[in-house]
Parts: sequence; C-alpha cells; structure tokens
Amino acid sequence: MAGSGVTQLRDDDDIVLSVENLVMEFSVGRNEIVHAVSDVSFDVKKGETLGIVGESGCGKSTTARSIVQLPKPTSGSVMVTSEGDSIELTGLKGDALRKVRPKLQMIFQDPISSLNPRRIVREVVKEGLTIWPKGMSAQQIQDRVDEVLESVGIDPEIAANRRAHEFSGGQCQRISIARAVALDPEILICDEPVSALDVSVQAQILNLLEEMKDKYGLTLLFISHDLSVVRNVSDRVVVMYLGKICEIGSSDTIYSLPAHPYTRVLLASAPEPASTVDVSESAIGDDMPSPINPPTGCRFRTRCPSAQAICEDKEPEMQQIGEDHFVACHFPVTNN
Amino acid sequence: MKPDNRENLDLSDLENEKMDKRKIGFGFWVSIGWMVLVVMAAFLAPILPIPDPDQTGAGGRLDPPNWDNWFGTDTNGRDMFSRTIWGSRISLTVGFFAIVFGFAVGGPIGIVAGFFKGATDKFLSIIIFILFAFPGLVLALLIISLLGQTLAVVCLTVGVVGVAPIARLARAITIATAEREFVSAARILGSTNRRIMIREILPNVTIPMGALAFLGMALAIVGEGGLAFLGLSVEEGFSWGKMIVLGSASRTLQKAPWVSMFPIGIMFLTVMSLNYAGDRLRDFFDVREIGIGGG
Amino acid sequence: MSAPLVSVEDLHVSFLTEQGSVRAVDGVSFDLEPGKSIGIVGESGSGKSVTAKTLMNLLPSYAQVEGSMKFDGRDLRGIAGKKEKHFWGVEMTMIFQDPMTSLNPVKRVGEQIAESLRVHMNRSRSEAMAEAGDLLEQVGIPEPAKRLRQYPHELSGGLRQRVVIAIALACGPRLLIADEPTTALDVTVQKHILDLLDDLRKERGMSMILITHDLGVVKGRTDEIMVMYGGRTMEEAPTPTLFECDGLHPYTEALNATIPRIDTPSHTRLVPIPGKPPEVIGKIIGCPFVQRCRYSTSECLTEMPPLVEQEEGHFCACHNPVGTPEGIKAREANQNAGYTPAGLDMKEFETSAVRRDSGEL
Repeated sequence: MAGSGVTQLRDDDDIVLSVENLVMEFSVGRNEIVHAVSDVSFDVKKGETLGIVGESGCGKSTTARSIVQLPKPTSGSVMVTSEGDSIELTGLKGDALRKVRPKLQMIFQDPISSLNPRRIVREVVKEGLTIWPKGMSAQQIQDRVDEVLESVGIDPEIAANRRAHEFSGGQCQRISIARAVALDPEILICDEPVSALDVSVQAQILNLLEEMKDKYGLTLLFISHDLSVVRNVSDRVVVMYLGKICEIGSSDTIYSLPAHPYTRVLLASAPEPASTVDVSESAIGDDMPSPINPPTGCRFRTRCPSAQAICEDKEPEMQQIGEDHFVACHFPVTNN
Repeated sequence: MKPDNRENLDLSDLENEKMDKRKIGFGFWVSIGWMVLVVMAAFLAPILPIPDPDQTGAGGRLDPPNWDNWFGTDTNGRDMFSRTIWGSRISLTVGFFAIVFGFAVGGPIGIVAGFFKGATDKFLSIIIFILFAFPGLVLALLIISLLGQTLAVVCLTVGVVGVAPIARLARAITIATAEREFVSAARILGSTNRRIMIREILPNVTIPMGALAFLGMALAIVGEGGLAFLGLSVEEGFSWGKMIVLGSASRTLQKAPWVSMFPIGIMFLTVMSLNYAGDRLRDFFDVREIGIGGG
Repeated sequence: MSAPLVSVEDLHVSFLTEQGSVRAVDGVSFDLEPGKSIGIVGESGSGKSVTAKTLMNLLPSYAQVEGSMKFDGRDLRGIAGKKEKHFWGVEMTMIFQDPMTSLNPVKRVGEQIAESLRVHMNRSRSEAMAEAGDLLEQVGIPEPAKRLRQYPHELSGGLRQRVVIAIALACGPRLLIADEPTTALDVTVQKHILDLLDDLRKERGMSMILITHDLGVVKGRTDEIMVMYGGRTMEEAPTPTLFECDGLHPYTEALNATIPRIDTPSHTRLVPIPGKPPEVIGKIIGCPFVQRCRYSTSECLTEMPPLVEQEEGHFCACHNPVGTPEGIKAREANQNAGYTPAGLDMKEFETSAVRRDSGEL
C-alpha cells in the first residue's frame, strides 16, 4: 500500500490546494529517521471537503501540519490557489509566508487548548483581524467579530468578554471556528475537530462546519480517525497508512466499493462495520510497523491478508480503477 | 452563570483533584495580612511613634522584653522593636529588587530560549548552565568585592544568583505553553514571533512566575541574611541579617537571646508567609489556568 | 432466573466541592447475573465511570455513597479496606482506558502478572511465571515467553491492554469491569480487544460490565444495555430489544439519530441534540434531559420519571416514551407550540446548527 504516484491529481481549473510528493521526515537521534509522511499527493477543489482517514501514526495530522508549514515539510510541494494566484508555500519564508497564512486556517482537536486561557473570547476572535486589518476601521472589525461569533452560534453580547475556561468543549470549538473564518480563509483544515467532544455535541459541530462551508465559501480538509464522521462530511476521502496513501476517491465510492485491503480492514473493524465488507476481514495483526523502519515495497504488506511476494519487492503505484477512484495496491479488490 | 469547564471532563478527573486546590484558602489571606503589616511598618517607620533605632540608651543594656521596649534592647541599649522595623527596610528592599532584577533578566532569557528552541535555546541554556554551575557564594564575593557593599550591589548580587533558576523555570513554562494549540493557531493567523511571545506566551508565563516571585523573595531575604553573616551585606545601615549577626555573638546569645531571636522570628514569619502564599497561588493557578488544557 | 451476582440498588454518589455538591450518580439500580454482561453507555458526566468505581471501592474518601451494593449476596460496602485483600482484584477486577496507568513502567510484564498470582493464589515464583505465560497466550499475545521479559513501554497500545487483561484475569475473577477499555486504541485494535473480552468472558463464565460512550461498541456484544444520563438510568433493556426500537427513551433515540453512520451517504444531515450535557452541581428537579428533549411536558420539569417496565425486560425512565401515545402527543404539542415547556425552541432540532447557544452559559 505504499501509494506513490500522482495519477490521482486532477487537472482542473478550480483546484485550490494541491499537495504533491509531500515528504515529512524527523530525525530522532543516532541517525534514525521517522518517515512520518512519504510521498503523499492529493488535491482539493474549491468548495470540496477532502477527508483524510487513518489510524494513529498514519501521518494524517503530520500532513495537515506540513501543509500549513508547521513545520515545513522535508520535500514536496504545497500549492495554494486563491483569487487566480497560485502560491507555492514550501518556498516561502518569514513575512512572505505570514502574508499567505490567512488563506489557510486550522482548527484543532483539543477545544480548550486551542484557546488562550488568559484572553477573552472577543480578543481571541479579533486576533487575525488585528494582524491583518485589510483597511477595516476599528468599528468594522468589531462588527466582523460579532458577525462571525453570531454565525457560529455564540452570542457576542454574553460571551465575548469571557475567557475560554467558562465555556464547554463544544462552545470552545465554535469559538475556534469563528477565529478561523474571521479572516475569510480559502481553506479550513480541521484536525480531529470532534474527537474530544461528547457524541451529543459532535453533530452540532459537524453540522456547523457544513453550514460555515456554504456561508463563507470554504474548502475543507477534514482529518479524523472516525470512519463514519469522515464519510458524513467528505466529498472525497483519502485513506492513509504509515505515511502513505492507500486509496483515494469520492467518499461514497470508497465506502461502498473499498478496493484497498487496508480500507476494507478499517471498514470491517468499525464498531458498527460497514455493510459492504465482511466482518471477518477485520482479522489482521495488531502491530503497526515502526515508521523508523517501514517495510519495503508496500508498507501494509506485513499485515495484509492478500500480500504476495511482489508486495515486498515493489511498491505499488497509484492506479485508477474507476471514475474518481484510485488505489495503490498490487491486488485491489474490484469485484464487489 | 458558573464558570465551568467541567462538563467536558469526566467526573473521574474531579475525584483525582485535591479538593483544597480549588480554594485559595484562609491561610493565604493570613499570610498576605502579615506581609501587608510588615511592609506597612517598613514604609511608615520614620513616622511611627518608635524610638530612633540608633539611639543608645532607649533602655538599659540587654534589657529583656518589657513594656517600654517590646523586643528588649541590645548591648548598646538600643530598642530592638524599632530596630526590627527599621531593619526590615533593607531586608525587604533586597528581597524585592533582587527578584525584580532576577525576573527582568532571567524571564526574557527563559522565554526566548523556550520559544525559539534550536540553536538559540542551546546557546542560552549553556549560559544558564554556567550560571548554575558557578558557585553562588563565590559569585557574590566577587561582585561585592569588586563593586563595594552598597544596597544596590547587594540587590544585584542576590538577583544575579536568582537569574539561572528563574530563567530555567521560565524556559520550562514557555516550552509547555508553546506546545499548546493556541500558539499554533496564532502562528497560522500570521502572528509574528514577537506578537506570539507577548500576546500568547507572556500572559501564560506571568501567572506561575508570579507565584514563584513570592518564593523568590523569601529566598532573597534569607540570602541577604547569609551575606550579612559573612559580613558582605550593606555597609551602612542594618538589615535583619545584620541584626541577627550582632545578636549571635556567643555571650549575647547566652545572656540575651531576644536580641537575635526577634529578628529571626520576624524574618521566619515573613519568609514563611511568602512561601506559603506563593505555594497557594501556584496550586490555585495550576488548576484554574494552567491545568485546563491537561484536564 | 438465577440469583444475581451483582445487585445494585438505589445507588447515590456525590462529591463535595467548593462549588457545591457534585451529584455523580443519582439513584441507579441494576442486577447482573452470573456469566452475563451489561453495557453501561453514557457521555461524560453521566456517572457511568463513577458507578464502576463505586463498585470497585475506588472512590476518594470525600465521596458520599448511599444505597446498597451486593456481590454474590455480600454487602460490598462491608468489604472495605485491606482486610479483604483477597476480594478486590480477585473476585472482582477492573481494567481502564489507558493501560499505562495500570501497568508499572519499571517492572517486567511477567513479574506484574505473576505478582497477583503469588499474592492471592500462593503460587511459587516459577509456577506463577509459567501461569503468566499461559495467560499471555490466552489473551492472544504472540511469543509469550519473550513478552514476559519485556517492559510495558516496549509494547504497543493494543498489546499493553492485553497484558492488563491478563493481569485482571490472573486470579479467575467472577466479575470484570471494563471502563472504556478501547477508547484509547485504534479502530482495528479496538475490535480485537472487544472480541477477546467477549471470548474470555464466555469461556470462563465470568460476568462483565462494559462501560463506554459509544453505543456501537456494545451493540451485538453485551446481554443488557443501560443508558445513563446525568447520573441516572434512562433506559435499560436486553441489547437486541434496545436496538430493535432504536430506544424508547428520547435520549437514546436522540443519540442514535445524532451519530453519523458508516453506511449512510455523505452529507447526510445529522439531527443535533441541542444544548450541552447537564450541570452536575446541585440538586436537579425533574428529568435531567428535559432541557434538551423534544418530548418534554411540564411534568418533566418537576418530576423525575421513575424507571418503569414498558415491555418485557425493557425499562425506561420517561413520562412520554418515544412511540407511545403520550410521546407522540407531547411531541406534537411541542411542535405546534414551537417551544418545549423547558423553553427550548423546536427549531433547534432542525439539522441547521446555527442557533444561538441561548441559555448555554
């Protein structure tokens, strides 16, 4: 499943984010290197939601972080297109990078850690506009803050002068969303935005994200370990394993015609397994190999039920197996 | 309208918290009360109806505590109550300004080191390390013998000794804060490093460091006492430390223990109040502010 | 029906804090027969974990416990402290969400398993070690001989949880309480651990209490399900019965409707549950779910509905259960009025999320 290759990239005019051959490696002493993300490519169209799903250690959060250049990726390209201009982020430094930052905003998993406990909500939401006033007067900034708070369902009158610890997790997540959209970003990256929330609050936030997307014309990159949540919000889905892409395609295709053995394992392992796979397909070994020494060839082969000799020798290239359905596997399951 | 972030936490978190952490407590206010009293007395010493501390013959020689001389008198017949109040002026000044100096120098070093990490951190950490490794006493001797025994130099000396631990703590808190996601969020909004340090990091470092300031003042007051013992404290005037030294000559100590015991007692209470208040503040803010992310 | 192994009756647990008395469990009762399993489902603050810890005698000293808890006829509250060292961890044992908290990081895995065998079962060192190896094999750990000599940090999260299970099972407990045993684990590992717990329970004829926030985890797994909210039991039923009707209680129904499903197409709008989980401080009058419920009537504001048997084995604490004439009537009345008696705008139940969080502060 070591999915390299770029056939999955689309040749469209309205691509707003294009990630090509992204590699992120960290050295961890004694010449050991963690291969967190290895040659990952995907693109996102304007207004689209791309879901990235995978287990811990698959590199999904690292991918998100390296898109916003925190830290900069080891190699590869991250291209953001906004108002007709395409900007390559990986080459930018200092002020040049700061100027592009408002285009890409992010919300995080831990709602409480996302907000500075020492600052009031109004200041938190206003921060971006204070840095980039874009010719707005103080009053206009104030109005904008009220507007975005209102749009995420927080009453500015009551809430704006309070600090984060006075709010529940769901409300903190709403405030984080308000902070992110205040700058009118092109792309909103959501890194496990509902994982820390109670299930009864989760749907409020998921619905809110959908609504914000429509209202502010956002493009979403949605990262989660939860297969059901990813399906619900995404137009397209990327399945990752050990720093590589296994499968990418329209979300209903991935879930109804999963072709990669790992995707099938995931779908069969869910607490309420998907109906398209057999529950018995969840039987694989527990141990993910170390990203310091990833397996040769296909990285999933050590746990893959359909692994053959070739999987050890040759890394599978990304291949198209259907309309908007790409898979990196020597033996994809195609006869559903 | 209860401030409450607890519905996110499972009740199990609540159980594990020490209950008294949520309360600043009665003891804290007693400590603060004592400190206010000591500071007020020091400030108002010139106008308080007490004898001149240098006036010999305010009572007999080595009189035990009595109605006229509450804390007794010393070998020269000077009133110990008055001297204890006047002596607090130098002790408290050293305690305060030494910490101000330590924070002014150590704080920024620690924040910058913890924020930038990498080479900056390595360089600053080496400096901190050297300061730590350098024996404080030798350093003090060096500075004082070079610059003379004035009040400013004593403050500076005690402050310099405090720089390393303060910088190290500031660095640790900065590193912990910088990992929090609101710092990433600020960066993603396009904040400059300076803005992040001032707006996001500093307010979060100030609170726990503020609690430390109390503990630091306590240590500085004791430190000044130590210097006095070595004859290295201020040349002019006198501090609690100097009074204790004077009172601890073996004959005086045997015949008139009050001469050293009162300054020791007052210093002990003050240092203990500072320590206790600092400790309570730290616990309190640990839960309320710093601990929120960990909850 | 055999005599229950565990019998809890009208359990109340509260913690005294500066802000008032935190009511964690508020009148919970259930029975668990030998060899059976029960799933306790609830969100944070529902009291599910506190209930388990109360059974295990793991509460801090300032917790106030009222009500009765019996284990095989013995009053659990009488079995306190170290007097009964062969009870806790032997007859009744518990595993937690994070396996690292129950493992000693500086001791080898083998020693940790052998320890309880030596203390409680009087095994010799070599006997205990041999048995530890067998246990590791039973919990599905490959190369048990090698693992016995490893330290916890050398194992993956899934293997660590298996070790914890091995330790828990060492003395042949009659009741195993698993508190979110798979929440910290990856989805592929989660399934294996849950299956393992199931198999071991059946093999050993052990009873099990499985605590989780995820209805999906208990579906098709435990014999019974108890849904908790705000420290109270909202609904209790045999697992198939509960999933057949998707919940009689409005809270269960709402939970079912709010969770995204793996098989429903993308962008299916979720039905939100308005508001936030209930305040845990102070006494509440009426039903704890009333502020978020679309079936509420004025009765719900003032009177906590008792847990009554709606159908064979299916208990529900609601004045207006879903699908009953009362439920339908209450919902229609609220729909017509536009507001519930608790002042909740019925529009909040629409799939649009952008509503002011009025009253949430």
